Amino acid sequence: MNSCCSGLFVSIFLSLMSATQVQALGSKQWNGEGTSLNLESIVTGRCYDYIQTVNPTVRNKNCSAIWEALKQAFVYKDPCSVLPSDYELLINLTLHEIPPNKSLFWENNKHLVHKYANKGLHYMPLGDSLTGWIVDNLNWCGKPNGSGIDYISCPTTEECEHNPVESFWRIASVTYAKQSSGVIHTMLNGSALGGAFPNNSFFADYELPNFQKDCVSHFEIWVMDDIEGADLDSCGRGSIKVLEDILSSKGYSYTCIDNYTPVRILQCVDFPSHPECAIPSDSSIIKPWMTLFLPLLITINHGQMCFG
Amino acid sequence: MAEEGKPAWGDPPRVVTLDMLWHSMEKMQNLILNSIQETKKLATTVDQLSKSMEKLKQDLKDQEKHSQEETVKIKENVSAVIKDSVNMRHVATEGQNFPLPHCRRAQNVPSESCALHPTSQVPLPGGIILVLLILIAVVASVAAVRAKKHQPDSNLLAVEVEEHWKGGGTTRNLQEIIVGRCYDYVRAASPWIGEKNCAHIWEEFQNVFVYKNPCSVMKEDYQRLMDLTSHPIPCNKSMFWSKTNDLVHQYTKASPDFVTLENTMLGYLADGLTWCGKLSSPGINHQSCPSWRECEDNPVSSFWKIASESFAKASCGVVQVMLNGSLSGVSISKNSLFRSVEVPHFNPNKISEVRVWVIDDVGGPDSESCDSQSVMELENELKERNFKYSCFDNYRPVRLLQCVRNPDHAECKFCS
Repeated sequence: MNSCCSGLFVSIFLSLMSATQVQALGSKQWNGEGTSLNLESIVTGRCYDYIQTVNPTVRNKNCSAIWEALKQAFVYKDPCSVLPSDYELLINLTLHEIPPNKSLFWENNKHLVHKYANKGLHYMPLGDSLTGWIVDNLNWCGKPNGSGIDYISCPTTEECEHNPVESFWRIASVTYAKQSSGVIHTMLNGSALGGAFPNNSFFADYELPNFQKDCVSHFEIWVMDDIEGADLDSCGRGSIKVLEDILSSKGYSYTCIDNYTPVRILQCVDFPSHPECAIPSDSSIIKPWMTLFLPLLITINHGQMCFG
Repeated sequence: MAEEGKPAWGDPPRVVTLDMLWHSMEKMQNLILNSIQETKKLATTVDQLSKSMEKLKQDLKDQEKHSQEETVKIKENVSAVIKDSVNMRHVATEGQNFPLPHCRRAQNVPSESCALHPTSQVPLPGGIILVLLILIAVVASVAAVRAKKHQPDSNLLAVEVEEHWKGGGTTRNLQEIIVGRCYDYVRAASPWIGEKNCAHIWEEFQNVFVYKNPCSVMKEDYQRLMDLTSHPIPCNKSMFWSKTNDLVHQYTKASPDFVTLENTMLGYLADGLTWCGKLSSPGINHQSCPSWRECEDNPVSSFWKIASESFAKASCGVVQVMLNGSLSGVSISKNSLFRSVEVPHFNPNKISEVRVWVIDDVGGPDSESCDSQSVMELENELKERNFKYSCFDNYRPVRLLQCVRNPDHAECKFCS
């Protein structure tokens, strides 16, 4: 009876100590999040999805080779000594044309940018190109022993600069800037605390220095404040002024627009009744029953509604 | 007025009417005789057709037999030549004397007349192997041309070999895409739904259609897949749609307050993909799949039917539906998935209200609105089942989203 019970407890204990929990009990070496689980399936799946459904104009990509190239850059390696150059093969395998005038650079407003870009249909930010698409929002790093992949923790850039994720986005940003042509669009956040054009940003450090003078015709900068957010930076002021000076000194022509209307409207989707979001209502919405209440409504909401 | 025209013929006496009746009966008799003859003709044509089909089949068999014989002959020749070349290795000089000049001269000479004679005196192994290679190529191409010539005449035979449907074939790398989307959904998009076994989910998915007749996949076949992927849908968030696929998904991306079927795990896995099976190896048809018109019980239609059904059943609180008001015809036809599958599965104990949004294209025609016939039919159907109902033309937040792409249109101008 006793041995039976203890056997039962041992088996329950063992089953509770599943692989992840054993790992979780293991030492957490770094401060950053560990490698995304099922990284291989996600990267490979996204790669095929991209060429089959998201952007079928990109053809002839070898998704298993692309995964292998990512793997060889970090698996079984010290996660603090992965250099941007380790991803050269991966970059070459994923490279495709970025259509002229479709490049969209950004700082501090990733979500808004990707809503606006609409999976590369409207604009093609780095995250909507194959290179960025396959690993966007994922995490990865290696360790010298065991499975060669650290699922527990990965180094942050503060802990070490040459970590796998930072190095990947550096070379990807450099390549993306080099490839971009025509009008270059940049969406910056006028409500960001560190400034719309912060120092040590990917845009300042890896993209701006790498544009090809012969290929770029013009810069268009959109400074978007959050709705109900502070207006900390705007065109010709603060850090935007710094950016404008850099562009001028490099001999680029540029236009700067505060709260660029189409993006403003997109922000308004979440704040449809905010005063800044008033557009004329469709005349077809005025129904016979409305004619009774309309004058009343207009009086009540004057200044908020607008019937063109 | 038209009646007045008739009496001009005069009222014919009754005897003449009988006469006319007789005449028309005779005419009818002639017609019947004619049609019998036509039928006979048709029958003979059909006979002839089937005979020629038989002949074609026979031809094809002969052709096969012939090419097999030729292959055997060629094999014999090759082995003879190899033997010869082994025997005559010491006579290796560069080749001037080709043994079969007529084959090189006349390209139209039938391949069989070019068959090599094993006894030919072959002094030059290198040259001969070259000639053999050329011959094999000629034989193969002639056979291919003949086979091609036969194909258009024998569609029936072709159908037996490969199934040709009107719809696009199974998406390439379906397995990798579905497994990848599955983990992406569980790890990145919606980790709150908890752990799912993606390998198992793929297994169940492929069990439904691989090596199956693509016209007999029933919606019930997906039950196990549904069980594996199910998760609760938060109340008041369900968004149904009909003919507004792009707009509704731009909207749910911009405003995550709403969830369409394609945002649930099951819909996310299959959105934009095509799949169907075939009985022969490898069990998946990458060339073509049946469209809904070809057969209703195809794997994709059955999938979306059951998926829509379960999404409708799982929805609760206030639900919304986005319809297209710029379509000529009906915004929401009786046969739409929404009216035929989803509404009938709304649970009156769970759903409190249905809100309809009829959205016109910016600058597009305002063909339909809340008081159009099809929308009012929908209203009646819902009210009969005691659902609270409301309808909005060009619901403002969606209108704003449309204006992102048309900022300069008059309907999109800011007031300030």
